[in-house]
Amino acid sequence: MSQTTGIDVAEQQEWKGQSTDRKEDGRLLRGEGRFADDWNRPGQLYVHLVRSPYGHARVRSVDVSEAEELSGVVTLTGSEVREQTDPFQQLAPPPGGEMRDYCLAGDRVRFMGEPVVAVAAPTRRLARDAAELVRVDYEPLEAVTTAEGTVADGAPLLHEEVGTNVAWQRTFDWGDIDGALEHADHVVSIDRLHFHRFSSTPLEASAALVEYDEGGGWTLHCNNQMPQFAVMFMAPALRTTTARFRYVTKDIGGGFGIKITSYPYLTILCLLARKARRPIKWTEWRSEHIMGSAHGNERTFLDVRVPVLDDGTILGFDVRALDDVGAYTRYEPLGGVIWSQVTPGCYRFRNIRVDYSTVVTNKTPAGPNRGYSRMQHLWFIERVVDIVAHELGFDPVELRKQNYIQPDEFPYETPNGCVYDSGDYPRMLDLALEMVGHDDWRRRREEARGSGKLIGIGIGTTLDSGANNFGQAQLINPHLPYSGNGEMANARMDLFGEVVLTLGTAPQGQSHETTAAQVAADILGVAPDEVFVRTGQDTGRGVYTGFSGTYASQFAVTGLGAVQGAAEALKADLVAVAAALLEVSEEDVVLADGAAHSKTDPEKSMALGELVGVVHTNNTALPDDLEVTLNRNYLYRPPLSAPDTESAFGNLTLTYAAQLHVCVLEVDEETGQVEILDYVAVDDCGRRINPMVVEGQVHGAAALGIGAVLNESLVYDEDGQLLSTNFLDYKAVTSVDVPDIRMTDIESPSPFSPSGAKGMGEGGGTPLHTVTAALQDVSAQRHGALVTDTHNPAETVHRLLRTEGKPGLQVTSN
Amino acid sequence: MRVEGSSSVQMSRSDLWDALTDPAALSRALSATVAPAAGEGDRWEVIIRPSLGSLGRPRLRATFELVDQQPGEWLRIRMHAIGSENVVDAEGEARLSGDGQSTEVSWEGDVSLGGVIGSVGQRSGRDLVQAQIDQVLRSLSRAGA
Repeated sequence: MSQTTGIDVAEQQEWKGQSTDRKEDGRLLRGEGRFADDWNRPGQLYVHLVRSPYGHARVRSVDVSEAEELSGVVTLTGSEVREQTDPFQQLAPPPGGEMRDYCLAGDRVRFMGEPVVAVAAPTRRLARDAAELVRVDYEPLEAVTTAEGTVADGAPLLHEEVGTNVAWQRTFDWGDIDGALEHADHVVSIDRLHFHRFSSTPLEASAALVEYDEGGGWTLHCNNQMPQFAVMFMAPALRTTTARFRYVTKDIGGGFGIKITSYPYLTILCLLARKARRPIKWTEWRSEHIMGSAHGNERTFLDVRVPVLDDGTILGFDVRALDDVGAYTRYEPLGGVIWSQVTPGCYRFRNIRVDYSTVVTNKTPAGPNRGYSRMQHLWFIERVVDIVAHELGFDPVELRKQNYIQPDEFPYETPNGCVYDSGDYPRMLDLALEMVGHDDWRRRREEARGSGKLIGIGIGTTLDSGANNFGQAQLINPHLPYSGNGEMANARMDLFGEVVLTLGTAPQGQSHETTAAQVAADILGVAPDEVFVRTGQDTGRGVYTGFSGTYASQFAVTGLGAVQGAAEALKADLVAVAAALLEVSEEDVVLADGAAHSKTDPEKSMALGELVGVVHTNNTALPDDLEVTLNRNYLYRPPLSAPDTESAFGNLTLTYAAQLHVCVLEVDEETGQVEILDYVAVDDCGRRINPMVVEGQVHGAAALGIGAVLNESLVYDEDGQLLSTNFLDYKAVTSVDVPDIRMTDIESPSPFSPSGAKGMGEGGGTPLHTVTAALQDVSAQRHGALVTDTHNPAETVHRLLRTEGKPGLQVTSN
Repeated sequence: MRVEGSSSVQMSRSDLWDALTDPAALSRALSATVAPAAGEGDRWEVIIRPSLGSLGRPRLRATFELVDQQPGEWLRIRMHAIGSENVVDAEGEARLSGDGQSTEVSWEGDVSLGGVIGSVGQRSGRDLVQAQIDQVLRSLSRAGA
């Protein structure tokens, strides 16, 4: 035993709340990260996919004979897929549930870029050359590429077995919207608002190396960000059990939700690996990623009606929403309920009706892109608030404050039973306005008139709901066996006393290793540098549960909740051993500075390494009745219950982070060109585990939103041709496009999470709300035409300034 | 997209007509050709790899069909070219006029680009198609001289 002074627990440094350096950065900056394309195996074959050049076509014939004449080439066709697999299961009930979705097209292609034939060859170039020898005879069919078009009479039917292009529909009705509309002093009616199609642009496209095991299983070295979701679709399709799959992820270069629905491609690789009896490697080209991975949901809001009282109280809204999810419903129609996690946004709206339809079109299937489904709905809410303010003559700041949920109303139950845990939106707004210099910008806005440049100021308030309750899936289909949430972690001591954490998540830049180490360090009395966190997920050797993965703004709650539980259990083991060896009570033991100490006897302490050695390799010193493993799993389950499926009432998410942005922009009246002059963001994600990490997420989410609202758009022509298949045409946001974003934060701890932290990272698309609000402010200085779309490049702004009247808007007053 | 233009070719009208209706001569004249024409009569197939700048040189199997003609006066050709992720469809008419050692050719037609190269179509497709037609006529002109 070593000599030491007494330990004062209160003086121990707390790592949570510190902006510690990221554990991930060292290897990444040295080029030692291991990404999916870095995996190689002797004898591997490379895959190139033959993809449909048509948005909609019948496949009359497929001839791979010429390709297979090349040495070493193996192919996989849609016919083989239909012999060897069953269609992927569907989440929707009938009719959408009847959809037959396979990993390769059969007799029909339904989006440009849909894979038709897979070609594998000993080199990447040969695979590409061989793919060009595949003959596919197409018969082009009429395509439908808009939500309104696909539900119109006479629209081409995408899936005959479904019988309709409406894959799912439900009307949600809470409160009394008809009564509110009848008794309101004013009703603001908006014909149409449109959330455009864009996506995230991970630096790393999808990739995988798949090996087939002669015992009948597969190992997939990949960058799928939610392998447990993937296996639930792949296993039944491949007519086997989930135990036959081992998913291994390491470093992932961005996911943003898009890498959740890569399972059709992984299925192709599994089939090829089994057919060829060789490892199969596939890496997407950028154009393939843009046209064939997943796009964000495109949503059209029609027939909006908003009842408002004279004092500015907004009573609710009525809307018809068409959600265009592309050609196949893969993660859909979950988006049909996920928006309802944030039904009233940040506001006290009590009367809400949403007639929601999930519709299919001849476009790339949607995936749960960052801010999934909530982003679209929150933009709609903010547009409504902003338009009401402009049209009824209210100050946008005061109208928001009046309608916000107030701090003393938390926890706040929304009309559909979601419980917002904590927050202070008025304070966030005040902070943002002060930070941006709101009064000064208002003065400068007035001074700018007549100069050829117009200044606009916009506010966007949004929520980042985190830690899903998967019971919401039952609101889509009551037969789905999903509810609650969970995440697993393992904490153990290795032979020499190092703390080792294994997570169930598959991070793509969210700093899980760093924050997990901080949490464990605090509990175990070590420094984060003394905690080794395994990179990525490995279902063959690691820990996971059915919900494991990295998605939906939840790691700070579920992942770190699991780490906390595992570390606490490990601590209990260490304390028990220390108490036995130091001959003190367990209550007398404290872990600090990498050792176990007696609080009351400074003579008694033992380094963790020494203590661990007694358990692992020198255990005759252990009492016979002491059962410890120093190897602890923990499954964290958030306190959630299944919602009522009939009334669609219940708590769908555990925590609610919030962001509030203010944007000041300048528009050149001649060209419509937009320049952001100032931009501030206020974040509230409860207790911040690592402020630097939080700020990085806020910054990244803001960049994404700015890119989308001003530059990025996935454009289709009427034949279903995607016209923006590469970075020449899809103007992804870069560092030169993003203004200096000034940030501050408040902390409203969640009463529901283990540490008070709230999940965050998706950002809710705040710039989409904020910039469109600023453009509305600009428009108000001309003719006041409505900003009705999330995508506002220069040509759209130019048109906005020249639109006279307010088409699509009606205000009736009693 | 609609394309149209005119050019002067240093060949007699009869020689030019023969070249335009000879699959082998046409495929030799097209710089993107990587395999000789195969087929007979009014329908033939060539393998082409057009250069599309940053989008590389995608391999396309192009089927040409002589749809209609008035010998020595005009002809109408249809083309369907398809690759592993691209498709080009075109149909157009060429008219010949003039006597002597040079012939005036005017043409017009519709072209659609699909697949990955569709993005090219919206920006520079017309220029690319025009350049290909000009290049074929120049090649024929050099061969005639």
